[in-house]
Amino acid sequence: MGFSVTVPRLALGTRRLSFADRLPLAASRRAMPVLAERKQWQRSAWLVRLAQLVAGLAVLLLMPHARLLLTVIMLLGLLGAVVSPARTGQLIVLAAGIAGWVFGYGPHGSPPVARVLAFAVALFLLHDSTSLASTVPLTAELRPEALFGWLRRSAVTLLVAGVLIGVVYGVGALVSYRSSYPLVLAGLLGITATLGVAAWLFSRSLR
Amino acid sequence: MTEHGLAGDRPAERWPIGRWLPTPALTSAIGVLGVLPLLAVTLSRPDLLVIALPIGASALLGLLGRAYRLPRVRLRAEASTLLERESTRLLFEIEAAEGVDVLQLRPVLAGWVELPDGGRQVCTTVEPGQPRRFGYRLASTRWGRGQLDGVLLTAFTAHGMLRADEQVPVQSTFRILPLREGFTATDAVPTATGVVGLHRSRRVGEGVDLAGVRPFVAGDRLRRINWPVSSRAGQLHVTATYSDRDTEVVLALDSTVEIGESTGADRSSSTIDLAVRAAGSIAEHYLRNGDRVGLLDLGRPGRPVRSRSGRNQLNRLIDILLEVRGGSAGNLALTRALARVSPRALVIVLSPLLSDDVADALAELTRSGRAMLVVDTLPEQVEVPEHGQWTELAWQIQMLHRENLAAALLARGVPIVPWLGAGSLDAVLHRLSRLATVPRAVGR
Repeated sequence: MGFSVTVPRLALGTRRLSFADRLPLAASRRAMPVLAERKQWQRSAWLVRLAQLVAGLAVLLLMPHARLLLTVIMLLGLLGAVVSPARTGQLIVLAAGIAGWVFGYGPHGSPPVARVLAFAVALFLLHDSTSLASTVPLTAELRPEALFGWLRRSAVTLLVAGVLIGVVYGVGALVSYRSSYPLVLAGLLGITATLGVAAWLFSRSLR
Repeated sequence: MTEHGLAGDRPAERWPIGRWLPTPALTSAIGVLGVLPLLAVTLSRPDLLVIALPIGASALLGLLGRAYRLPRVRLRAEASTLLERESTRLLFEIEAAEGVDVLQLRPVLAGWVELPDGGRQVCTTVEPGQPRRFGYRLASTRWGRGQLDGVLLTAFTAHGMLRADEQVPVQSTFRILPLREGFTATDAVPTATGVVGLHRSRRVGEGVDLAGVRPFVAGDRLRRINWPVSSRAGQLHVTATYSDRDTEVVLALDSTVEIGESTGADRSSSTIDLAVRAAGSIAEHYLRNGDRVGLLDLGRPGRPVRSRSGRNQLNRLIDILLEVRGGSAGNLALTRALARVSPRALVIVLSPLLSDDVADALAELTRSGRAMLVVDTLPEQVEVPEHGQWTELAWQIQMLHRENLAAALLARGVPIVPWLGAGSLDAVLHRLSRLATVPRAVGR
């Protein structure tokens, strides 16, 4: 808090003490830290969060028969992930989205392929954009080379995932998933192996 | 230029190994990868496997192609000495043995420098064998010093699923010189002493300024004969000139009181800001004219800078000015410090006239007959911090007290002038020069 005053000039003989130029500084200074930080927010960081929001809303729209509780949890998680992507909002929104999908179609439901693919892509984009947002604070400038590198890696991931999805649906066309016990066994072994590889990579990464 | 991670020649030592930690993205991916395929198998629902595949592929591909070593970052400024409001470029140079997805860089700046066009927090990437270079404008905001204390580096790899934080030490200091306003002053000084210089002394001798025409006496140089006058008068006459001398100027900077907010050259200035800028301008002017200039910081009266001439003295004075902070000193210390000033020196006091101790010490100095003038350094617009309902009244009382101090000094013959840049001291210097030529009684 303070005020601005015009100082009388001694040598010029001015003797007037004027408070006419007093400025209303108190309110503006109180709000200054927030305003100053808001002015430093970068457009590139905002665009990443916008992509995150769009992907989250797409997941919400693609969920079948969305229940109110799951929708609320998902929206809260999405808000948390957008505001603070480096925290657990991402896990909440993904869990809510998957739970909505599983419960929406029931335990033995068979959703249309196009919808499955759209949901998978939306969920991946939500996860991917949240990961990118967690590396770019709102006040940070995301340089184009970093953004293009990230998009290139995402595209490669989607390509690999597309091939794997083709394999899954190809196998599904040949053999019924519901009746083939060897396939279930192979799936369980595959999950165990994948989790084992993931755990090994994870433990190696902490060295 | 500071380098980071150049310990040895072997690659393992040359590139620092980061301490990588998982991010929530990895936790989410492992959660999805652990739950969905299991549900897919147990419920016989391939769609759940399909949903898990992109995220799982992202995690596995990312972890397989992840980086272990951190990139090496160098930060370098193109100039280390700036004027107020001047800019230089802060150059980032990044190279890596292994590519990272995103590299977040936050230069840690201290003092009076800023990055106005971005660069405070940059997210970039780097590939092995492809060093990346870019720069941002680094601007000075106020006189003093600025520092680059390091760079906070956060590297993300495995598609943002692992992160490593590190502080890269960088030690870079910037000198920000006070804005010098092209100050000029009249040649007239009260006491021109010394041997050579540009000021006209009171003594007749070799010089340029005309002192008069007088009859020729033995010993006069022939080239000084004024032939037109000699032919008219029928007797040899010579042109007499005043000799040129230098002078000693002592700048007494009052840092005992600081009023106003010091926020930068384009923004509001404090009394010390104005005093430092004025001191820099005056010192530069007199030193360029070959005079000897000294400095006395009244906030630290025990550390005067002795009067010398030359370019080195200007650098020295500027260095001392950059260290000026608000301080306090007792009346006795001030009086002693001012008493040590040479009796023939021109003392220019840069003060807002808000301290009784300083005013008393100056009044004491006038008793010894020294040539002295006070430059008023209270800015025209001052931000006064408010401490309750009486602040306005207290400020008015302070201003009245200041006027009383000024009136008392004026009554003792000490001229007071506001700092207005070039030419602001001319009238007073002329008056002081005239006063110096008349005999006067000095109280001892």
